[in-house]
Amino acid sequence: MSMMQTQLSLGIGWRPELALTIDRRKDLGFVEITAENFPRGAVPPAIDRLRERGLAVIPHGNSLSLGGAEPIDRDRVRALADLARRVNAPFVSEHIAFVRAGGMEAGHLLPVPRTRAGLEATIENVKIARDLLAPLPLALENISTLFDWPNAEMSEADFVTEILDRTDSLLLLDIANVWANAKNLGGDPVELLRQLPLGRIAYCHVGGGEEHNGVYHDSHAAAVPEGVFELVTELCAITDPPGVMIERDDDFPPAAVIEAELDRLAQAVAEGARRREGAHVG
Amino acid sequence: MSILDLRGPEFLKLYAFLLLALVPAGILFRWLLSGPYDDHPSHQPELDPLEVAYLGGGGSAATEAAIASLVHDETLTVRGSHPRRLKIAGRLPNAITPLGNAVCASVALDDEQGIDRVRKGVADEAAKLERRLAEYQLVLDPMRRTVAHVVPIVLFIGLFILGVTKIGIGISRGRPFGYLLALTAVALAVLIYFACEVPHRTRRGTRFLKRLKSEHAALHSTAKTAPSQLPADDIALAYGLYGADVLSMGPLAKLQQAMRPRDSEGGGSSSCSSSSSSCGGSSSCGGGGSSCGGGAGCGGCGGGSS
Repeated sequence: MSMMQTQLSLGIGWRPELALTIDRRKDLGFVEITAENFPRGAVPPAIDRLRERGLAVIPHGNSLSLGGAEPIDRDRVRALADLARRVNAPFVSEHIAFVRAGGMEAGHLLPVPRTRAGLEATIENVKIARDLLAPLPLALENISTLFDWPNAEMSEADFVTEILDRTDSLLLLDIANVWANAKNLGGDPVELLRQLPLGRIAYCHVGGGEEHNGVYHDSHAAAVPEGVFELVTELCAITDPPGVMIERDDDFPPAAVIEAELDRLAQAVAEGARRREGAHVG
Repeated sequence: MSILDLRGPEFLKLYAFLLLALVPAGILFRWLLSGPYDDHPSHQPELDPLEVAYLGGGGSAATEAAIASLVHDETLTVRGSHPRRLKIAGRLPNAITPLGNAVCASVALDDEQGIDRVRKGVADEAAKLERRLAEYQLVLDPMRRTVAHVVPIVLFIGLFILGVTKIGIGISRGRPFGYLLALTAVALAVLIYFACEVPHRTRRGTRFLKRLKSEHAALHSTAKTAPSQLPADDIALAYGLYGADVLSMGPLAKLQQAMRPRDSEGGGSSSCSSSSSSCGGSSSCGGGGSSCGGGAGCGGCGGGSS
């Protein structure tokens, strides 16, 4: 692995609705901004103010469609790179997913078929994006999904690992997505975590969601389930992720609720770190 | 020999020279009177939200900030469409400001009250906010404000009368006067500008206001997108700093069109407003601000989510 991970500590997804809460919270190390919300790099003064305070700002893309069968739109990658330069980002992040095909926009992040063909198409696109973004590193995120394509030729962990290894990319580990996939598709979330390339973690997402008709939706519009915080502790008992952050995209609660979630996240990280250090001493 | 006896081309040259010289002279005169500029911490007091609003745009802006916070608190409600009217809707908050109290008293005079009427009705109470700001030399004292306002106006009234008189002479002598008419029209436009731009803040005040806007940039973002999460004081502060731009959600949106838009940060003047019947008496400064991207990312149903 050629890249050094940046230490970020505690973070949150910057949304205008949360701007004041974020500004008043003094222990944050970074914020993530949704790249598509800032065309032509026009970030609001509130974000510049956070940068002046020393917080890292990480542009997070949703629309590159790196897992698509067709080549990616280079202009979208250049726009992401421009935004990253504008905010002096340590790296940018995107998803291992596709959002369009045959000229149709899905409106959602869709899982890539875990076949050799799907793998090669994704790697080809990631390499194009990586070269256009260079020297800025790219972190790739595991998504949550309500279904798996049939005839998968490898596990999700093997799929993610091979993409990251062959493109020398970082991992944006969405812990809530691991938890959600285990809940909806089956499997042990801790075991799924262990199989991922944890040494490549750039930072981690933690988001909330809600269950409807027995299916958990990772909507980022509800409280983070306790099980996700417990999984954060499990992760931190295994490794020391450079940064962890809360994602909240809708149905914004009062500031005190977001504050409490950040506190709980910090507590979960600290608890895991204590267990990890205890294990080393033992 | 009188200036008016000069031949046409000579008079035109002199008039153009005076016009070109007096514009920067008027601006410089106001600039010199709007000192001090220094930014020492001892000159940066803790202001309450209505004082900030007064600093931004004078008594009208402070009144509007008080109205915005009372609507946010559901003490007042906004009725009608054009013009918007205010009505008492709930109990007065316990910690109401004197200006807020005056606003409620003014609204309570009738079943519903127009916003312009409320502004005029509480003007004396709003003017009291100036005291501390003047103490810290953040706004001009009345004497300096009057001098800075009137002197450039007098100069341009003189220039305008000079032009009109010479045009009259040209007409009586059957001489061409088109170029002079154009220059006189320019003099009139500058005169109107100086009449409308009432000096308000000192340069120290303008600098202080700019710093406050930068410090509270996050408040601007949240007030625009999630005002319901903010207490009434923050709404008043957001309005005071960024103007009606922040009144875009919920019950506050009904207020947005009734409040006059702010101009850019500018040089600390109150200005004539196209949406206001008054000119010069009420102020409108500050504003600016910026929009920012929306919130939602890719929360997922169906397929996947980030």
